[in-house]
Amino acid sequence: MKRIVIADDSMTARMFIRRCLQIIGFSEAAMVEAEHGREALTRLKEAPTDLLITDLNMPVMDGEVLLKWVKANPRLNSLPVLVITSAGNPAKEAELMALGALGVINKPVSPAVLNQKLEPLRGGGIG
Amino acid sequence: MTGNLDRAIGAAVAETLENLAFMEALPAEEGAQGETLTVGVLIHDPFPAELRLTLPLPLLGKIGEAVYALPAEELEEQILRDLLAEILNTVAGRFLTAYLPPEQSFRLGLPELGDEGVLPDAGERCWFYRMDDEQFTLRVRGEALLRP
Repeated sequence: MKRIVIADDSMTARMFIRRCLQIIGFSEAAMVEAEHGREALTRLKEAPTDLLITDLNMPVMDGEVLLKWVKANPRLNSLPVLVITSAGNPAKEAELMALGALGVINKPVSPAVLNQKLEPLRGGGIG
Repeated sequence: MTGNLDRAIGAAVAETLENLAFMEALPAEEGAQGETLTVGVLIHDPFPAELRLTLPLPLLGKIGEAVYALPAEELEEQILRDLLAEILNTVAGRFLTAYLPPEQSFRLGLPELGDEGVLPDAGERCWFYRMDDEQFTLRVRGEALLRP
């Protein structure tokens, strides 16, 4: 079973991302939600995951720290991490890409933009 | 500079609501009235500032219907509060992305519900909008933004 973890402190944002993923053809994937980075790490440890989508600005552990933790972990560092955030601009995007993010999308996400960013992963069997 | 601020604010509000709820926000003469809900978010970097968004509850319910594809009466208050916070979070990010140079990063706080602002009262501007026959208000505080 394909698995996607969605980390965002806003239930509205998580719902929106879920809906966009379903629209672009990921409806078969198990979508697991987390309200912050620490919870996302817990979810990642529970089962093999194919994609992590994370906001940046979250309580407890923000998305940038989460990204660093994932990329520093030998078991997780090949996990694609897509950042969907209201706090993205060219400067921040460059920082996140240098940390290993798959891509950065500014909120509100649209199915078309999400599809474009995830297209490279489709051959890997997650969609 | 003031023109840039007005344009960036207007674009952020319009684009956010269009993309999130497929609803059009137009400039208005008056702001939110009646029973309302207010959320605020602090800008920490590159300068201290604060944005506060006030929506009348009926309008928030209509936006919720559009976003969640559910009747407003089925949307719990917690969902509407979260929705309002997410709207402001997105507006703030889009505003700063448009207003600041592309090489300038920024840092936002977490949205918090409540009528009272955090920054001192000195220096506040209001923008009024109309959407679906209801008005709402966006307030900005912070000398670095409002200084002419």
